Amino acid sequence: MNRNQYIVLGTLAFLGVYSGLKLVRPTESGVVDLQLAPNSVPVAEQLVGGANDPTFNRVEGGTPTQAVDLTEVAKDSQELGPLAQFSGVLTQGGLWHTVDLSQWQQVQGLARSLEFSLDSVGGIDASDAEQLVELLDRSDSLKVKQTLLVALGVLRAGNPLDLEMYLDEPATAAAAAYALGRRGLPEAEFALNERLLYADRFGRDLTNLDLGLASRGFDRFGDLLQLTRQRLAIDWTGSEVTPLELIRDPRARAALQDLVLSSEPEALRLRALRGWANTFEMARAEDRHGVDTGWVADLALSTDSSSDVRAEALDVLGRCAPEDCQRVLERSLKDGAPEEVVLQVLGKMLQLPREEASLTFLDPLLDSGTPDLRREALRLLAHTGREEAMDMLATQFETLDAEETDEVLAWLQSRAQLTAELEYLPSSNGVPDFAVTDSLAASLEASLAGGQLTEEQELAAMQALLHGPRPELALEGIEEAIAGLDFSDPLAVQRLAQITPGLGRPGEQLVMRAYSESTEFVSRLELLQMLEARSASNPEIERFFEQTVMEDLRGELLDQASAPLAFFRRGAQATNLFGSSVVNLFVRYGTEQDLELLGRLPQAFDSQAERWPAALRDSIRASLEECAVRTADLRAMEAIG
Amino acid sequence: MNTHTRMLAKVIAIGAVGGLASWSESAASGAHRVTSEFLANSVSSGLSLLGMPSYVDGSAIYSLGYSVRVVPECNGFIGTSVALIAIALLRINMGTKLKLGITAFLLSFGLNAGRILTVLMVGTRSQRAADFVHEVAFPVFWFGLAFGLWFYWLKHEFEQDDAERESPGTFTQAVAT
Repeated sequence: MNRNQYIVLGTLAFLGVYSGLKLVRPTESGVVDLQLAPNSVPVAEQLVGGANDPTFNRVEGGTPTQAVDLTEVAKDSQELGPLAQFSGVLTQGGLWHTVDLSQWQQVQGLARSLEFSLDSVGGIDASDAEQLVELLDRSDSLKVKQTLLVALGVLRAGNPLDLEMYLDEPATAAAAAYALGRRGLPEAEFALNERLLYADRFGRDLTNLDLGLASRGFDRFGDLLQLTRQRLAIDWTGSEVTPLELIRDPRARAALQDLVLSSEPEALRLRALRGWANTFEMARAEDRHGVDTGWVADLALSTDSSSDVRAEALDVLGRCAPEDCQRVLERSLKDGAPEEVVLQVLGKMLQLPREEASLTFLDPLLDSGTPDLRREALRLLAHTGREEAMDMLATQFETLDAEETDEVLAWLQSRAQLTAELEYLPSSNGVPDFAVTDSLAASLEASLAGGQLTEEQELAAMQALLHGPRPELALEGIEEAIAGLDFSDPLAVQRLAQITPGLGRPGEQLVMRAYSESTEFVSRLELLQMLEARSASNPEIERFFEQTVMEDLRGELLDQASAPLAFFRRGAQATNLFGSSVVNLFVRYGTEQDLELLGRLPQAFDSQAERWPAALRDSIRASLEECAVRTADLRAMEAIG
Repeated sequence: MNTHTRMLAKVIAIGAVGGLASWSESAASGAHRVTSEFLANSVSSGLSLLGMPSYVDGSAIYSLGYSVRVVPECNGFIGTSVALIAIALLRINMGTKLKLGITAFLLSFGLNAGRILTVLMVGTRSQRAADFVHEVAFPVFWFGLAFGLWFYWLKHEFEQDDAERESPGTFTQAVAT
C-alpha cells in the first residue's frame, strides 16, 4: 500500500471512530426502542375490565381499577340508533381492536363490561336480538362476529340453532360458548356438551368451551363442581383453568366460600377461591356492600394453610378487598413474617381506596425497613394518591437517595398521567383522586430549583405538579421544555409521547402539530392513538381527523401496507394498532370509495412483502383483510342505526 | 517543513474540517435526512436479499421484533464528508482523487450499512445481544481498526522517514509516483 491509501484508510477509520463515539452515547443511540404512548394500553385495558387480568396488576406504574361503564362513553351520541351507538362505542379508541376475543379471558372481560352497561348503551335490549343475529350472519369480520355473540350472550338472546355453528370455529368458540351458556336452553346445553365431549376426546383446549358451562350460572353449580372434580382428578397439579373458577354468578358466592373453607383437596379449594373472587367482582356495588371478606384475610394469615392457599387468598384480597390487606400487613409485621411475604402483601395494596384509614402503618417500613420494603412502601404512597400519602412522601423526600428519587418521580408521573387520561374516560370508578399537596409540591419545587434533577426527572416532577396547588407554573415549565421540539425529528415525537398524557388541551394542540410535521407514518399512527380517546370531547380533533388525517391516509395507505410489521413484536394487542386506527377512522369518516381502498390493501401488501416468510406474510395479510371487512361490517351496523 | 510537520498539519486540517462540519450539522439536516433514508432503504434491501422481512418508515427500519432508526449521528454523512475533503486536499492527480473518493464513499457507506444490518439481524434474535453488538462490539472494532491503522501508518511514515534520511529524494519520488 502506498501513502495515499494509508491516508484513505486512516480517514475511514477516523470516520468509524467518529460514528462509534456518537453511538455509544445512550441518549443519541441509533437503536430506537419504540414504545406505545405511555398509559394508552393500561387505560384502554380498564375499559374491558383488564384490571382483573393478573398480568395487568403486575404492570409497573399501572393502577388497577374497576371496569369503566360504557354507558358514559356513548352519552354524546344519544341521537343515533342503538346499533349505531354500539358501533360508535366499539370504535372509540383502539381497545376493542386490540383484544383477542378468541380467548376466554378476553371474552369474559368484554362480557363483564357489557353485562354492566349494554342495556344502557343505546338502549340495546332483547328486542334487538333479531337484528344482532342478522348482522352476525352477514358479518365477514371475525371480531364483529365475536362481539355480536358476546352481546347476544349478555342479552340471553338468540336461537341456539343459529349460534351453535360458531362453536366449531376456533376463533369464535369462546364467544359462542358464552352466548350459549348464558342462553341456558336445553338445546344450547346439548350443543355445548357435545362439543366439550368432542374436544375432550381429541385432547383440545377445553377452557374456551368451559366458559359456556360456567356462564350457565348458579343453577348448574353442581354440574360445574362435578366437572371440576373430574378435571382435577385427571390433571391434579395442572395450571388449566377449571369450570368452577370461571363461574361469575354472584349467587354462587356462599357455596364457593363453603368449599374454600371445607376439607376438600387443596386444588379444589384454590379453584373455588378464584371462583369466589370472580363472583364478588361480578356483583354490583350494592350487592357487595356488607359482604364479609374477613375470612379471606384470615385465610391469608392462617399458618395452617399451605403457602399456595395463602398466596391465592392474598391475591384475592388485593383484587376484592385491598383494605383488608392492611390488616394482613400489620399482623405480618407484628408476627415477624419473612420479608418476601411482607413485600407480597404490599404489592397487593395498590388499590387502597381514598377514604381508607390512616397510612401510618407504613412508617416503620419507611423509617427502618430494608431497602426493598422501603421502596415498596414508597411505591404504595405514590400510587395511592391520597393526601395523607402525599404528605408522607413529602416528609420522606429529602431522605431519598438518587435511585429512590428517580423511582418516586416516575411513579408520581405515571399516576399523574393516569389521572389526566382518565378525565377522558368517564366513570373511572375505582381510581382514587390524585392531588399533590402543598407540602409535596414544595418538596418537588425545591428539587426543581436545586437543579439536581435530570431532564427526565424535571419533566416527571412538573407533570406531577400539574395536579398540585400551582398547576399554571408547572404547565409553563412543560411548555418551555417542549417549545423547541422539531417534530420532523422522530425522537422529538417520542419525547412528546412522554409528555402529552397529563396535558389537557395544550397537549392536544401539540399532538396535532406534531402529526402535521412528523415524517414517519408509524409515529403519526401513535400520535393519532393519543388523540382518539379525546376526539369525542373536542370537535377540533374531529375536524382534524376528517379533513387532514383522512386525506393523508387516502394518499399513503397503500404505500404503507407493510406497516403492521412495525407493531409485530408487541404481540396481539399491538399488532392491531395499524388496523385499529385505520378502521376507527374509516368507519367514522370513510366513504364507499374508501372501502374499495381498504380492499386493495392486501394486494398492495403482497407486492411489498414478496420475499417475506410465508407464515408472517399470511398472518399480516389476514389482518389487513380483516381490517377491510371489519370496517364494512361496522359501517353496516351504523347504517341500521 | 519536514514530513512530520506536514503530516501534523494534515491531521489538524482534517480535524478542523470535521469540527466545521459538525458545527454546520444543523444546517445539513436535509442532507442528513436524505442520507439516513437512503441508508435505511439500502439496509432494508439487504435484509430482503437475506430473506428477512423489513419495513422502512422514513429513517426507521423495522424487522421481526426489532427496529432501528438511522439518526443523523450514525448515518455517516459527516464522516464521509470528512473523508472526501481529506482526499480533495491530497496532492495527487484528479483521476486518483476521483478513484479514491468513490472508493472511500462506497467503503464508508457499505461498512455503515453492514453495521446497521448486523445490529438489526442480531436484534431480531436477541435484543440484549444487539445492545452488546451496538454499544460494545462495534465501537471496540472501530476503535481498534482506527488506532491500528493510524499506528501502522505512522510506523510506516517513520520507517520511510528514516529511509529518506538515509537516501534523500525518496519522498519526492514517492509523491510523484
